[in-house]
Amino acid sequence: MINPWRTIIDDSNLSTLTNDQLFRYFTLYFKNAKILIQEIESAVAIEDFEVIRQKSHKLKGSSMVVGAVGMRQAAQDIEDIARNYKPLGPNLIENLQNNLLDLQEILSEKFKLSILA
Amino acid sequence: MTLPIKILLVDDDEVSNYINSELIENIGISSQVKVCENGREAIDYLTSLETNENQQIPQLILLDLNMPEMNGFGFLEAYQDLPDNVSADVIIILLTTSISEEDKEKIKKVHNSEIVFLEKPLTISDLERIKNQYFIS
Repeated sequence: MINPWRTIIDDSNLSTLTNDQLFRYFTLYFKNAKILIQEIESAVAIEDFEVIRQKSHKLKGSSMVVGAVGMRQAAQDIEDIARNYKPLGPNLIENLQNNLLDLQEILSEKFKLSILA
Repeated sequence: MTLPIKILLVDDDEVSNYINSELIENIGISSQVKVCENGREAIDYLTSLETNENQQIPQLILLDLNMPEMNGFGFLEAYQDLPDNVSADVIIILLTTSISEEDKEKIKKVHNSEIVFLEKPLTISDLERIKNQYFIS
């Protein structure tokens, strides 16, 4: 059985990090992720597919670096759609936002990290 | 070559650069990590080294592919035109989220030398492998 939190975060590369490192990395990650989600939302509103693709790709990359696998998948889904110049439904942005909240919750419960998202 | 080595990170993602720089410095491979946020900035930086004797040429470049202004393909193409004193004996590793066969073919067309590919995230074992393969003689 897969633990639900493993669909949100892959901690295999995080085990060697100190709490201080985790806190700094995730604080930076959340700050950037929030900005990128806002930029994706703005680009969706004007159907600027190239910006949507670039920003979702960037969000995918930084999510991979911190092991945020749920965010990675949500960003990948948006990137794939934007690459094909297809309109994005509101559920995809909502999915990103929900994943970010889930990640915040897991970090607080499992890693005792209180990151302000 | 002996450690520590001089490393250039070329990536527009602040999170990747921050974490990778710290990882590299913690493992002791390098205490000199220079970060450029896109290919253009990296080419300008390398060009500036040509006339600046106090700056050391990077021995390893970790390059992302998808970046604004000048992406990894553009960097590799422009890199070919850099003078030998800033580009000879430099190892370039593509550090990217994914690489398609099409991208690999595209790289072959713009860059003569062999390029190594690594998938993000950069890990301690990746760095150990790079260190042992290229920098410990």
